[in-house]
Amino acid sequence: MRSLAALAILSLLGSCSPGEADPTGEASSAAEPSPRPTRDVLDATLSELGVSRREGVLSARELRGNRGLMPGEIEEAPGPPAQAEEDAVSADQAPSLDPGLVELRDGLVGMVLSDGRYLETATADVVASRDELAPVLAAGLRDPARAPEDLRVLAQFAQAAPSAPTSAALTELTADHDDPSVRAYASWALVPAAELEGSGPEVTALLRRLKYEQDSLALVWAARTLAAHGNLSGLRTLAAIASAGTEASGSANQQLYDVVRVATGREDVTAEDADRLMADWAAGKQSRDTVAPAALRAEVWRLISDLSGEHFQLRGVDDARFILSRLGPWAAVELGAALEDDDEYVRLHVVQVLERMGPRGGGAAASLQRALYDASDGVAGAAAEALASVAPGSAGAPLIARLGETPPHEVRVALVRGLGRTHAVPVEVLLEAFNGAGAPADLRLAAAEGLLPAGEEAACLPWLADAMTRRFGDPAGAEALVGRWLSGIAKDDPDRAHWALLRPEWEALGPQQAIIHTAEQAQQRRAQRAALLTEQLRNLPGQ
Amino acid sequence: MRIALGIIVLVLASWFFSALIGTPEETASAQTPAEWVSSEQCRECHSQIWDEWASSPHANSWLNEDVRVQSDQFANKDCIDCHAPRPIFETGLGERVLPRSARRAEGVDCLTCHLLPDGKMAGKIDNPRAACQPTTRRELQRVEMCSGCHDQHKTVQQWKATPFAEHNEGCMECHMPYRDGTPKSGRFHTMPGGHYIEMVRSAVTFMGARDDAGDPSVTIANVRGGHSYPTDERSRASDIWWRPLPGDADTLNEAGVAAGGGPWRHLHRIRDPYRHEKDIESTLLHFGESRTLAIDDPDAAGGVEAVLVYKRSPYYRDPETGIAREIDTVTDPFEDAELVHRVTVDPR
Repeated sequence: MRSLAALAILSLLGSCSPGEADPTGEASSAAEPSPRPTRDVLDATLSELGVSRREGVLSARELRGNRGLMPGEIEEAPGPPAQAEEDAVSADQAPSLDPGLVELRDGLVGMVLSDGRYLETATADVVASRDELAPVLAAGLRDPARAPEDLRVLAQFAQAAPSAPTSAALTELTADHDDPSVRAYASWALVPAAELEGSGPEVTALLRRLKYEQDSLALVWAARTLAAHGNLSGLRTLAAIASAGTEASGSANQQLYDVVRVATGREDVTAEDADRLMADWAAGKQSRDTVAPAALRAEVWRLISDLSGEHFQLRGVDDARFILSRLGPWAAVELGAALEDDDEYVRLHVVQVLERMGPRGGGAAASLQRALYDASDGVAGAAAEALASVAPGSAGAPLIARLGETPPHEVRVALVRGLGRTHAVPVEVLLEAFNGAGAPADLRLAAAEGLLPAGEEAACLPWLADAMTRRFGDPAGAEALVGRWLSGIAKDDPDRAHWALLRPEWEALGPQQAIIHTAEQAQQRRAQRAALLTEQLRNLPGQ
Repeated sequence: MRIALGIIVLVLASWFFSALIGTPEETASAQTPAEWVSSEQCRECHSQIWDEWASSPHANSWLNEDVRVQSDQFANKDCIDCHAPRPIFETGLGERVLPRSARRAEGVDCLTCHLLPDGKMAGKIDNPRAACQPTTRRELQRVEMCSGCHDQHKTVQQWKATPFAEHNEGCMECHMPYRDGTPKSGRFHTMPGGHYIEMVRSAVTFMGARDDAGDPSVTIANVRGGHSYPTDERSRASDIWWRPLPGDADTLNEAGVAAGGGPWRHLHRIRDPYRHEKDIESTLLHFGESRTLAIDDPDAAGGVEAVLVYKRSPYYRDPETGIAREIDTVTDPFEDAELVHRVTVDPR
């Protein structure tokens, strides 16, 4: 009942959801694998949504033209068409702006700056003329000559009288302005924009801030405003800042409390409520209850187009992966559709995004299951890991079925790795892969990744200890795997108490604080850790 | 006589058949593997090349400690695209690279550059009898082989703006030279670059002087780097430091500077900032560019010892804690940098 209330209240915060079939996203075992016809889904969808691809800063097309550019000569990417139109009316000199309204706006700003007590009066005037003033406020927010204090007042006006033009201008400020207080105010002022018809692009812009924002307070407001727009991916950031003991911690704590309070419908919320809310979001249990606005869908598909091979630089791809993977469960449906595109780059990166979404990406489980048969080994392999991530409870059967068809090595390794991450790890299958005659190191390591947490340490630890001392194979991967396993052993696990005891010694051998070992030091460290493992294996009861 | 003739015929026949079926190296492994699963498979026939590659930064791209720490043991999967890329002939020359799911520990390996979509290997010559069935692919020498990763920070773009590009001197001329200077010997697969201080030294000159007024200065020039100095990774930096010339400037310590000198003072940093470092300007030294920096300090009147150092991480880390320090608090750059060049300017 409480979770229902939470869902209802979250929806009031500005969420919505298309009819994604199964937000918890378990793979359908009935889905028959079939050959994958691919097509230009991307351009067709962009066309349907009335938007175009974004040009890369350094596009593949440009590179194919073999044009030499000095760093200073790199042309900046042109903004989206809608943006260009807004820019055209951004200057106060633009003929479409009423000089009288410009004067009114500046008069109100001056009044507030002269005495803060006039804020309420001035804001009331702005609200009274909100429709007429909207383009003028937006132009003011875009004026590069304006001082930060002016912009903060304008942001307060825009917050009181939300509109599409001011939202667009505020969104730009969150990303571009040099003064962090302006970026924080701009994010804050976007909270009520969640109620506007056609809102949405703010969400992707604020998600980008989660990656790049350096100022803690601006980050707090980016995360808080995202929550108001129905996206809870910034809550962990709020929690981290709240517990960091910095100047922004109080603010982060207050905003986190507010979000949890509204979501649960209770005043007496605790840290556990916050943890539960974050866990629910990660599990895909918080979703929109209305269809995503077309503007947000359009922005999502433009981000998907950023993944294409036409963009040469990974910077844009990294950003798109980051943003897309932090969207709500509703986005999985769009991403699943993109898996049918004929661009291998799009398919592979979309699969990576879904893997990072985890259970929130469950709506694309059926599409991922089909992608196990993709013509590209890269896509098929990545799909195996993604399927295990979005639907860990039901991915086992399709992964085992695909493994039984003797796929190429790369896909085989990924299938085995994926199987190890499912809820019911098929130990026999992994042991077979691990012990297979002539099994390459990467396949054995992939199998060990699932075997260790499944309680099969006796089967694979001797090999892992040996692998850590070798120059080739994957000594670092073997070490990292054992380290993760050791740190994940529960304190009260009676079957592994002897391994838990090893943890302090293991950690003491690692690099201290922020020291980065040289290659020789790393080799020595791994040898010592391998010896520690071997010794412990020798001392196991029954050895 | 007959016996001698017989021996000659046998030797000739043996030579003829060996020429027919290929060199011993090419035929050492008679069987084409059912599947290419590791660059280890190349080792049996190509041990010299394999050994060179195994000692190269390419082979270390997955195991490199710096990378593993910065990528959180590759939990940041964005790093995989370049640190374990799919075969370039599969994704396309000059196209952006894609990440692979298998043999990641081999980093940028033999298969990354040589495996063709049909399972054969790109090489210098056609030889269908060899186990790996090499096929002549002259594209192996093109800069587009490298650009998928190395143009992410515009290194190839920088190169295109230099005379090296006009003269078709690509990446390989410096980074994969011929073993004995002739095509016959094949190319080194160690691929030296920023990890090899000798390579860095050959890229730039560093000189000290006094102007007509007697004020000291140093000049750095990018004379041989076929791209900007430094290039590729924003984590690379090069710094110029100076200090008053010590009494005994000829006795050098392990770092290669005067043994009895005092603390160093920072003069200039050459680096392309990370994108979030909005308050830092790019000071990359482009090919052909020369930069003179005055040492405007009364302490320099008695002579100057100046050094150019190279860093593979942008910050100077405290040797005890590993934590990055403000550059003004660093007095001994050699704890976390390598000497490229040293100059002295005599007292006025």
